[in-house]
Amino acid sequence: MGHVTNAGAIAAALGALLLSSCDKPAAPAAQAGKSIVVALMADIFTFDPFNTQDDRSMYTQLTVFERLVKLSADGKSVEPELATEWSIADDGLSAEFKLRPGVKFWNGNPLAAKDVVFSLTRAIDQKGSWGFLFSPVKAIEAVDEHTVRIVMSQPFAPLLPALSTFAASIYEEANFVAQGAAAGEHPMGTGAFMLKSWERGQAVTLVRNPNYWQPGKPTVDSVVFRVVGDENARALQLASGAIQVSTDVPANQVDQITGAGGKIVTVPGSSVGFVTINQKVKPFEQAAVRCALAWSLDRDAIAKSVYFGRAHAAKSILPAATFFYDANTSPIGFDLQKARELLASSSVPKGFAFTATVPSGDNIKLAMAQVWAASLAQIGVTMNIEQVEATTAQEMYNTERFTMRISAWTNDTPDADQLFGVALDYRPQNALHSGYRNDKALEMVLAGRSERDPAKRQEIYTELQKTVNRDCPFIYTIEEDRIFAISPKVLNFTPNSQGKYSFENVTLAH
Amino acid sequence: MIRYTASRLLQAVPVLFGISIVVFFLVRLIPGDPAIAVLGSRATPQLIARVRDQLGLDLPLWQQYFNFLANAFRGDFGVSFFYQQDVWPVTVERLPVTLGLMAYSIILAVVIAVPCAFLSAARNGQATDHALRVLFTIGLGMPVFWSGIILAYVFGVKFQLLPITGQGSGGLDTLKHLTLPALTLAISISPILVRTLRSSIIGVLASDYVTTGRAMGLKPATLATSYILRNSLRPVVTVVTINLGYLIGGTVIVERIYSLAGVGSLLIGSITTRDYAVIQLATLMFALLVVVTNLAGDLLYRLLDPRMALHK
Repeated sequence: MGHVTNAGAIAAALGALLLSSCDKPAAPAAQAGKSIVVALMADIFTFDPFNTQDDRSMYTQLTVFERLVKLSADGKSVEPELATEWSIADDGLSAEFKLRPGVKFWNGNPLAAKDVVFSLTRAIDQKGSWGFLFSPVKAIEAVDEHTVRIVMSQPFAPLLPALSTFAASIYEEANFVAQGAAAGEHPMGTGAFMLKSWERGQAVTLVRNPNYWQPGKPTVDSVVFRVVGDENARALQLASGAIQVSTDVPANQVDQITGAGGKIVTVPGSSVGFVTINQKVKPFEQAAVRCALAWSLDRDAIAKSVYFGRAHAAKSILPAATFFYDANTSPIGFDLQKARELLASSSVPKGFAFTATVPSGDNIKLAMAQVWAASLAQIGVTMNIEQVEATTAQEMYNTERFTMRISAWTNDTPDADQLFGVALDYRPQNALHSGYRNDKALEMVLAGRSERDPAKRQEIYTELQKTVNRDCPFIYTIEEDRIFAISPKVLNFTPNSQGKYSFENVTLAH
Repeated sequence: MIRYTASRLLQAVPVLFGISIVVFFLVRLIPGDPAIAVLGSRATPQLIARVRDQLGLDLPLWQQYFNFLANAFRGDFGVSFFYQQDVWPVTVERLPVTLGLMAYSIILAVVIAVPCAFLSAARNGQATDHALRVLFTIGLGMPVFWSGIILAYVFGVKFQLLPITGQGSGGLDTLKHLTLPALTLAISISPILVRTLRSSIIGVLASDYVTTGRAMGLKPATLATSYILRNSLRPVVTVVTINLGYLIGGTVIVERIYSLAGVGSLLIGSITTRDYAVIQLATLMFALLVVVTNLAGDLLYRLLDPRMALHK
C-alpha cells in the first residue's frame, strides 16, 4: 500500500498549496459590475510624477490625476481641466489660473490652491526628472483659495502644453505629506478613477470615483491594469474575453486580432523613429556623411514590409501631432543618387564601415536596420548591426560610447519646444548625446521658447525643421502608430497622443 | 533513515553555498547598470551615482558578496528596488503558485504516462506501441512556449473551456486556472516518463516473479498494481527528480504565457529590471527546490525499494 500513501500525501500537499492561495484577492475579471481589464507589458513603477521614467507609469498617472489644463480631443490645442480660466500677464512673466469650483479629491476633501502650489512646486523642481519641462518657471504661488499664480523668469510660450503633461499632475498635499516615503504608492487625486489596490508585478486596480466633478462620468465601475508580459498571451486573452484592452500591440498581430473579432484603435503622430549619430566618431562629424545615410533610408519600404503598413515615412524629427510640426520643409526621402553625391563631397567618397546598435529582442528595429544596411551597401557604406541588451544599450547611450543608436522619440508635451530643447540645445544632454553643436539653432530654440506670437513661433520651428534636414544631426525614420486592441464591447476608447487613456469617456456595451 | 536524511541535508549546505556564489557573481556579469535600469534614460550622472551608492554597488564585488551572505544568514535577502520592499515576502508570496503548478503538472504527467506506458509495454512492438511512441516523440519535440500558446488558443479561445490568465481565487478556481499551464508542462515531461516507464515495465514483465505470479493465478489487477507498477516506478522517481530542473525552466515560460504570478515570472521580470536581490533569492529558491526534491526522490526510492536501505 506504500504507493497509495505516497500519492495521498502528494495530493494533500497540492491541496494545501491550492488552499493557501485562497487568501489572495479574487481575480479582477471575476468581479461583478462593469469592469475593463487592460493588459500591460509590465507593471508601472510609481504614482509620483517627480521620479517617473517609464511610459506606463506616465499613462497611469494621466488616468488617476488631473491637471490644470488638458489636451483637446483633436490634440491641436489646450483646454481647461482643473482650471476654468487663466490669464497671462502682458510682460509674459506671470500667469494666473482660476480653479474649478466643487472639485474634490477621492477622499472628499476639496481641491484648494495649496494642493496645486504643492504639486507644481515639485514639478518645476530642477532636481526632478521633469523639471526641464518647466525650466523658465520660477515659483508657484497661491493668490487666494481658488487662484494660483505661476511666476516665470522669461516669457514661456510652451507653459500651457507643459502643464498638460503627466509631470504637472495635481495631487493632495496633506495625503502626500502623510504618506511620506510611500507617497508614490498611495496617490490621492481628483481623476475619474481612484486607486483601490496595487499588487506589485501583477495588477493595478482602479475603481470609480464617486466624487468625480464631471456629471454622469465615469460609467465604468473599475479599470484594472494587469501585467501580461507575453504579446501572444495578450492577443489570446483579448480573444478569450479575459481582457478588454491590450496595449503595445505589434503591427504584425493586427490581422490576427481583427480576424478573431477584436477591434484596433491607433493613435497616430505620437512617436517617430529616431536615429542618433555620435559625432565624436569619424566620419560622422561631417553633415554630408550623415545626410548621405539619411537619404539612403527607404522609409516607405520599411513602413510597408517591417511595420505591415501601420507606419509611414516620417517627414520631420517632430512627431506629426506636435504643435508647429511642418511636413513641408523639404523632408529627406529615399534617393541613392543624392546619397552618393553627398558622400562624394565628403572625406570618405568611397564609403566606410560603422556599427549601429539595436536593442536585442527588438525585431522590428533589427529588420529596419537590415533593410537600411542593404541600401547603404549600394553606396559603399557597410553598416554592421550590433544587438545589445536594452539596459546596456541605454548605458552606452548615456555614456556616449555608441556610434549609431536606432531608437524612437515620443513626445511628453505636445509642444515642439520639448524635442528641440534637448535635441538642438547642446547644453543639457549634449544634444541628446549626439555632440551636435549649432549656436544658430540654439538661439532659435531659445527664441521659440519665449516668443508668444504663434505665427512667429511657427516660422522659427519651420526653420529648425529645415536645419535638421540640412545638417542631419539625427535621422528620422518612420512614424509609427501606437496600437491598441480592444474588445468590440468597449465604446468610445480614445487614447490621446500623450498616452492618456481617457477611460472616463468609455462605456461598455452589454 | 533519520541519520541518512540528516547527512544528506548537511551535504546540501555546501551545495547551496556554492550556488549562492555562482548566482551572485553571474547576476553581476550581466551587462547593464541596475541604477540605469531603475532611473531610465533621463537620469543625470549625479542621480545615478546616488542610486549606485544606495544599492551598495560601489563597494568591491567580494565585499558586496560577504554583505549579502552575512545578511542572508540573518534571513535578510535585501530589498527589491523595483518592489520597494524586502525580497523575502515578494518571492515567498509567489511560491505557492509555482509549487502548485509543478506538483499539478507532475501529477498530470504521471496520469498521462502510466497508462500509456502500460499499453505500450503490453503491446510491445505492435502498432499501438509504435503509434504511442511516435506521438510522444512529437510531444518531446514541442517547445513549451509553442504548445502553451496552442493549448491556450484551443481550450481558452476556441472552445472557451478553461481560463488562460491568472491563478484564480483559490480552491477549485485555482485548479481550473492551473489546468492548462500544468497540461502544457505535463506534455513536455510525459514523453520522458513514458519512455523510462515503458522499458522498465518491459523488464519487469519479463522477470521471474511476474511469471511466477501469473502461474500462481494472481488476478491481473493485483499483479499490475502491486507487482508490476510498484517495481517499474523506481526508475520513474529518479527520472522525475532529475528532470526537475527542466520542469523549472518550463515553469518560467508557462507562467509568462498564462500570466501566473509565480516565482518564474517574477524571475523573468527581475532580470529585465536588474533587480539583483530578487534574482538571487528566486534562483536560490529554485536551487533549494532541486536539492530538496532530489533528497525526497532518494528517500522515496528507498521506500519503494527496501533493498536500498541495506546498502550504505
